[in-house]
Amino acid sequence: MNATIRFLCIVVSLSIWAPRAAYAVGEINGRIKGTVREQTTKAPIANADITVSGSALIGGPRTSQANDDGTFDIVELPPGAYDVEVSFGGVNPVHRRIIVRQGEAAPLDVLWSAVLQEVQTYRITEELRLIRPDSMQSGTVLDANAEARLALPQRQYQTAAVQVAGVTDGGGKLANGVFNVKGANRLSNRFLVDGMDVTDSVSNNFSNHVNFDAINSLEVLTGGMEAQYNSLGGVVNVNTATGSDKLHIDTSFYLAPSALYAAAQTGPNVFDQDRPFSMDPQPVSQTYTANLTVSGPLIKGKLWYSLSLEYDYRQTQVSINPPLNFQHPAYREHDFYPRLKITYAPTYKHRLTLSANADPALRFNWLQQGASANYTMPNADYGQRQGGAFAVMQWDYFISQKLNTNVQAGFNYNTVAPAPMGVFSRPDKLPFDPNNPNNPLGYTLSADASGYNAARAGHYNNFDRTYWYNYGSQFANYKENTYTAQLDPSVSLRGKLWGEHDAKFGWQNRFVYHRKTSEASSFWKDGDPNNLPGEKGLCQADNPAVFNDPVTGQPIQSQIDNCRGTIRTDYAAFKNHQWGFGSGIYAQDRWRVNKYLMVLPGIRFDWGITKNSVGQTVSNIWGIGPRIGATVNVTGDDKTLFGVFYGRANDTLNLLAASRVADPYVSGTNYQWSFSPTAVAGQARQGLWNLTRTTGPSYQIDTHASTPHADEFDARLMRELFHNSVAGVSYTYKRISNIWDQVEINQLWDPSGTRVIGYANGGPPNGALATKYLVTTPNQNYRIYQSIDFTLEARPSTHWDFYAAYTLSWLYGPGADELGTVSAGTSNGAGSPFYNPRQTKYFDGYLPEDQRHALKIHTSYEWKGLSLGANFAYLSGTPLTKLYWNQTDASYSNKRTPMGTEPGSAINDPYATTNFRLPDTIELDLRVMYDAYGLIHQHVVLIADVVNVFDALTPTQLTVSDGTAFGLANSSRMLPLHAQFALRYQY
Amino acid sequence: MKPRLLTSVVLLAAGCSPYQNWTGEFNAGAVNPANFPSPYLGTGGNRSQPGKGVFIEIRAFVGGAEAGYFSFPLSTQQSNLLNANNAVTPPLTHSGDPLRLEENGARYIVPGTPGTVATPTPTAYRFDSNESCMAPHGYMYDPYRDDVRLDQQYPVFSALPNETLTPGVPESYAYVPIVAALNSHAAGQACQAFKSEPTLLAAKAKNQVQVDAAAQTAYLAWPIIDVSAGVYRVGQTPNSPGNNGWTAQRLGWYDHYIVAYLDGGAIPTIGYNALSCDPKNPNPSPSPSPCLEVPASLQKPNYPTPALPITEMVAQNLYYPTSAVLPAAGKSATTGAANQGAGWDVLEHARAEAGYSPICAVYSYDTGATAMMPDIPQSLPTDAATIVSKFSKTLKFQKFIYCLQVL
Repeated sequence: MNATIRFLCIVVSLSIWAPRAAYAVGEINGRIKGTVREQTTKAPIANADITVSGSALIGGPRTSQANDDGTFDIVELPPGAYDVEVSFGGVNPVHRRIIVRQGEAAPLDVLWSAVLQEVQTYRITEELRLIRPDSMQSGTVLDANAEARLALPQRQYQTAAVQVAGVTDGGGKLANGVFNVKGANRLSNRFLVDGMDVTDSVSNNFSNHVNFDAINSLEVLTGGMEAQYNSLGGVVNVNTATGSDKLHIDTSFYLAPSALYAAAQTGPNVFDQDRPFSMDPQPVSQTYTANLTVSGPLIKGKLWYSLSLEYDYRQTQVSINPPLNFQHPAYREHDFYPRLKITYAPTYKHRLTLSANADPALRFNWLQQGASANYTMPNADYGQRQGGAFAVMQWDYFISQKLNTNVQAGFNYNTVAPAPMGVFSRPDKLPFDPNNPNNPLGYTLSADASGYNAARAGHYNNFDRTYWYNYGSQFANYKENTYTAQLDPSVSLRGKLWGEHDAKFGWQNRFVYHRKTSEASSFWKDGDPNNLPGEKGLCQADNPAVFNDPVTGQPIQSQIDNCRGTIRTDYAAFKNHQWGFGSGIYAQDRWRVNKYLMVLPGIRFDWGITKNSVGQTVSNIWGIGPRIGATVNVTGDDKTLFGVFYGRANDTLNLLAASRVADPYVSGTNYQWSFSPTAVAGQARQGLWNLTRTTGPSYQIDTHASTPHADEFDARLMRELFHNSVAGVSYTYKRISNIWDQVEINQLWDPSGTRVIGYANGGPPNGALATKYLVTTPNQNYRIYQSIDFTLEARPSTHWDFYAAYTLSWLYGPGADELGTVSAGTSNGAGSPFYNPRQTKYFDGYLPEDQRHALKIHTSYEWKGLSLGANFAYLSGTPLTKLYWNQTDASYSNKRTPMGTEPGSAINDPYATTNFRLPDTIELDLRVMYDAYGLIHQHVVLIADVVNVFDALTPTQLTVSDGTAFGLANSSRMLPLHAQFALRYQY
Repeated sequence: MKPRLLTSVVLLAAGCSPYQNWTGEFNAGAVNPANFPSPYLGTGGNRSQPGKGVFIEIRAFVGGAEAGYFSFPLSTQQSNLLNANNAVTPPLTHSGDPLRLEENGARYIVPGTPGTVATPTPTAYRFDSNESCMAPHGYMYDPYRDDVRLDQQYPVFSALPNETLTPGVPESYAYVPIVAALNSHAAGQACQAFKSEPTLLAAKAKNQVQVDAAAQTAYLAWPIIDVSAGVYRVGQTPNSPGNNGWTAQRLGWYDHYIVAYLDGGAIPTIGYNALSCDPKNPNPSPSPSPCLEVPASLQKPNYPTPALPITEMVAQNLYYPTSAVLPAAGKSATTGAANQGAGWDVLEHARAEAGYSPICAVYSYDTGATAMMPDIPQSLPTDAATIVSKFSKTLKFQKFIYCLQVL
């Protein structure tokens, strides 16, 4: 005992000094943890026979015997309903039905009597003890039946996760799909599907979609994680449906045409709602979904299959607003989600599962769905081919009651290939039609009669911040591929040593590879010296038809003026690749010391290495992650639990950093245009492009970077209020430290941080500007999260399902960014405290994901085939920060007040600084569903959804840059009130 | 309990504040020039895009030697005070309403607008560089890390250039680039401990800082400019290699914000008693305008005894040719006002000379050259004495400007 404590203390002490990765093995099964006692005396009954059977359990019933103290464990049970039979010598069997959820232990207390006389019958009341005496993990399991009764803004596992306490959607709405868990940034989550870690190795977001109807259950872990998980944020653990001994067909059609959407042409101000007298056409928003899932036995009891396909078509469009004031073509999306799952149990001791999934998709007019919609001309938009596939194999071997093993091996492939819209199809020219009433400013495409030129450089007008021609850095031929392979063996042991132990030891291995290829392109930032809006201010030096007088062939003076000061960024064609390998070993025990105390010690060691194209080792780091938790069974009946937890997770395998220092060709080179009177008359670019800035090979690698890690402390009190109903309150303190970032180490800024005035390590010999980044994990890059969660989870009967959570939380610290990918800065890292030392002081205050209040309720009630489901969320607004002009970067990326604030009307009174947040959002979605089985003995289900019942058109983004558009909500709002109808047939 | 209060309580309980950089005498960063009058944003300045403007020193000559000055216009109020009666025949001392600071022991008020000070001169507290402040232990200035030097105490300003912009209405502002400087002494205090006037005055009340009495007031030409604007000396141009635009700027504080200013030196003043224009009311207060106030040395015999004490700033002269000058081969000659600031200006006094003033009365002179027979720059005079002696009959007063020769 003392030795154990000493060991843990040493480990904890050492880990404080450890450097620090993130991957996990998915827990897709659950277990039953029960006790058999004599009915009258309550004495434990040893050696009672336990038999567990259920439709989800392939290979036949599982049998076991109770231990000397009457306890028993039935492990690795696929989620579902199980019948438990308890008898002694075959006498007087007692039957119970219990629901097993993935990743959780279902507690079961069976009272048996040898003198029972009455005939035993099945107790059809299902047990779903939501209290978790042997775990400090926070979060919940969303099962398919309950989710099927709810209207979800999007039918995706990613968006469903936002229903859980502690999960914050950065956009302040339910349907973004990109979220933060308990203070960690959005790059910190792990996404697991059937055990396969489908987290993208570079973007660190989910990389695979899954047919929503084919999801059996969804476990969302937000904290207190056991050692088998290694995530700085949350874990979304998807368990897809398996076959069974019966043939099942599940098909559905969801229809939400634009006609079922309320008016959504809104004004530009935060307080504006829809325009009742607008003559503009309503923005198009519609979705159509078709699903088919077929499952059943190939060999009864031994070999099952589940095969499914989903097709989604979605269109969205934001309303017409400044500065362009015309309707951008709609965002369009085609998704295909095929899936196959095979389960094989040659004997009751072996179970093999193969899960394969793909998600090819096409997306067009991508910018229409985001903040740039009203700033981007249609010919500047882009589309994307994307998708991938994965396959994961699991082998469960039940060697004995005390020993079982599991091996997971998987492979995942993904690709994204964005390209200008012209690569896919010609963009909509209607906005350029002078006769179009929605073209009040009379925009015309003077450059190209066809309306599009895929090879044309992008243009950005920094007067009104509009994008013209090919957007930003989207290249004509650009592709990223990621490959992941994983191998995760584990052993589970159960036994007795100063109490009961349920231990798991595992070894997790992950190999990741990322490749990026691109053809050359360029992106112009218009200097716009005359402050002309729209195309009038653009430099047309690449377009002789406009730049030169058609009669004389000489450059037109106004065109020369437009081009003066224009900055062009050229991107050379490049290919690069990075790879990484990570390995982690872990041990996790659930040690029941006695009836009142459960200790949950765990520890893991992780190591990871990443390399870039040129063979440099970008990171070679390790970390120790101790976990120690304890739950106290306060009342001795597993109904009142108090628990505490401390744990550390380390991020030792992050390919994002390696991709940042991939090779010298990724970044652009800037040139500034100046007129050349000596150039040949008539030449299109009658000027000089002077090199002004190179941002190529200026990266340094910190070979002594500390390991990014998260330390978490939780305290929790849970109480089972009534049957299958648990209320809890918990406090969380979490600090995410040493987040990856790029520290600019060369530029000397003026005291305002607006203009570069020199170099610390020398500029290029030609006087051009140069940035040099040190890619590292600064000690100052941290985030602190504190929260108090109140939860109530109940399933008092099979008719009801209820979940309510209120979270009061604070998130602060300087760690707003991670390698230029999280914050609202630019790719040069201006959203980071380490890009511009003059800006560092502003990176304190509340982080952009800080959500003070979140109230989430989802509930459903079913009665004789009719069910009503409600999904409600009140989310307080997340912080914004006003951004100001940065002259060197020619962008609005500087702050003048701390994060989460803006100066107010008294711009130079520091005491007048005010909080600046998005408005709070309220959303209520309803579903009415009727299963006609009672009438026709077929599961024909009619579904009607009403989404955003209050028709709240609350802005979810505001213009934060200084200027006349500051504070306008002209880019993104909640989807308006709309309805969706569906027909589902289940056989 | 209100959410904000609850937030404070919880964060306090946790022993942490999300705004730890914003307590005490904090550094709020650079001042926002969005409300600065356009001359103080620099040429090409843009209120919503600080750093776009540039200040370029104008090439000039003093006593035959090349020099330079930074030019700023009079404020709108000062310009409105200027009229024909104020323009006196050169080369006499120039005086008039635009340069008037005090009248009858009080600030000079714009006639007809009670309470509106014609030339506001807000206080600036300047610290004696010989009285060293305390730098942090082991401190070495790092231009990469430090926005301000922690081994100096910058002056503290009490006002910013400011104007209220009304769309469609021409720019109008009262700001003049003059401060009333008070010598302050903070030896032994931490460097940059004072970033705002209230903190400084509070320290003064505690005798931690000594501020000299107003009697020692000096008027200084310290225009506050956009911190991020480039300042280029004669011969430098923006965007050329090696010229980063960080040259003559000096830094100060205003209400926790960093401000940049140019040091144009002290402004000489003259005090005299004025005459009234109205014989029946020889000592009106304030003095009526327009009316020529004559310095005591120029009073004519038999006039009533002056009784209205006046304090005015003294200007020096600046000359430029209005006749045709050929700037470069192959180009047309320029004439008139276009020649002012074109590089042929001549100042009376250099910064180091006793007669130096950062305020200039601008005079044009005419050499008689025409577009057909223009002067070449090398033939133009480069000292004031030559201009006065050769072209005195052509001298014509044009305007007052602030003409700062910056060290």
